[in-house]
Amino acid sequence: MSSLADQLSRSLLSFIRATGAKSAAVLRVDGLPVVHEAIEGDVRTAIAVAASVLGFSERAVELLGGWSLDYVIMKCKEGHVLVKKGRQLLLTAVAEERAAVGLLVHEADRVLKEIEGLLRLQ
Amino acid sequence: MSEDQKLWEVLAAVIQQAWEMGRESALTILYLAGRRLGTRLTSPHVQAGIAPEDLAVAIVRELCLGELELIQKKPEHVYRLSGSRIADAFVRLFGQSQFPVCCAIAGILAAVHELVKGMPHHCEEVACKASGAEFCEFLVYPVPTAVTEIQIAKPLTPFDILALPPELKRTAMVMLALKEAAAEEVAQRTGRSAEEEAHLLDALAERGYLVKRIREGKAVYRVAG
Repeated sequence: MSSLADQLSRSLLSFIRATGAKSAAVLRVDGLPVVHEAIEGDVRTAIAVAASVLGFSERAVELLGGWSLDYVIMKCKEGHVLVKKGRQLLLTAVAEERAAVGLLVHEADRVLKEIEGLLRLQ
Repeated sequence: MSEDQKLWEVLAAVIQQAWEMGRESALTILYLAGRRLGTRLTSPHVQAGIAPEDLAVAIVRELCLGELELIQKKPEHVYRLSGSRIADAFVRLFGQSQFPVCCAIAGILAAVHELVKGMPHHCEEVACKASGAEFCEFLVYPVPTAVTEIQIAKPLTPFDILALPPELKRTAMVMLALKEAAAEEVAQRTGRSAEEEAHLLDALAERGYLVKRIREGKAVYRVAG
């Protein structure tokens, strides 16, 4: 039987394979990484910054429109950075310009549910 | 008001503003700032062979953050902080907090453990004086073995309850039914006092069957799984 860490890793890799993302991570809202693949450099800071992006965006949406945020897409010259909110966890992914944003969001939703299920967070 | 008190209030105001702007995610900035400071203060002592808990206590004392003591070493380190200057300043300025405010101290403790033990650690403030707890409490754990609170905790099943000491069985049964409750709610069902139930719930949390959180100044326990 594979360990929880293996199952989490497999789940995230399935997201990367399905979307063609360059790297991805699942994290808690306080920025603690749960599982990550192919993120280079200072992983913990990069992931914490992604959590902050979603946190600040969420507050902006709430204060400006009284709405609730689902995801943030950062459109860059080279591609896209997604930060998607799950029930209790977040997913961030980096994808090249040609990647399908709709697929990224859809798969992010699927994998977040899967990982939250593995961690019994649902 | 002393100069020290004014400085703590500046920090408390920063914490409140961060919370208003980005909730938990924004508090991560303060956690990482604490981690950075902790790394700086720990680095000169890494080779000295000092236990992380002794170093943590010394650093917190040196920074005049309050009086830190280790109250549990296994399975994970749990520290108790009496008289948190940050929490006191926060309550003076803003009243009781809805969230744990000593995130910078959590960052310091994580850094001490990380450097001394040579592997990534995370620290969470599981009870905060600013939220109405008597003391601030911090849980420190290595990241690869306990990434989330749920991974620390074990699911509570009827089979597990059978193996519990008699005094814990009834509390565990009630929690299994309620899933999430404060000591007062459990006490209503068991007929014991809320104080007694709080001790029993803590004992179940220590065994990993419950996750304890401070919500609006009150300890709330949740069954894992």
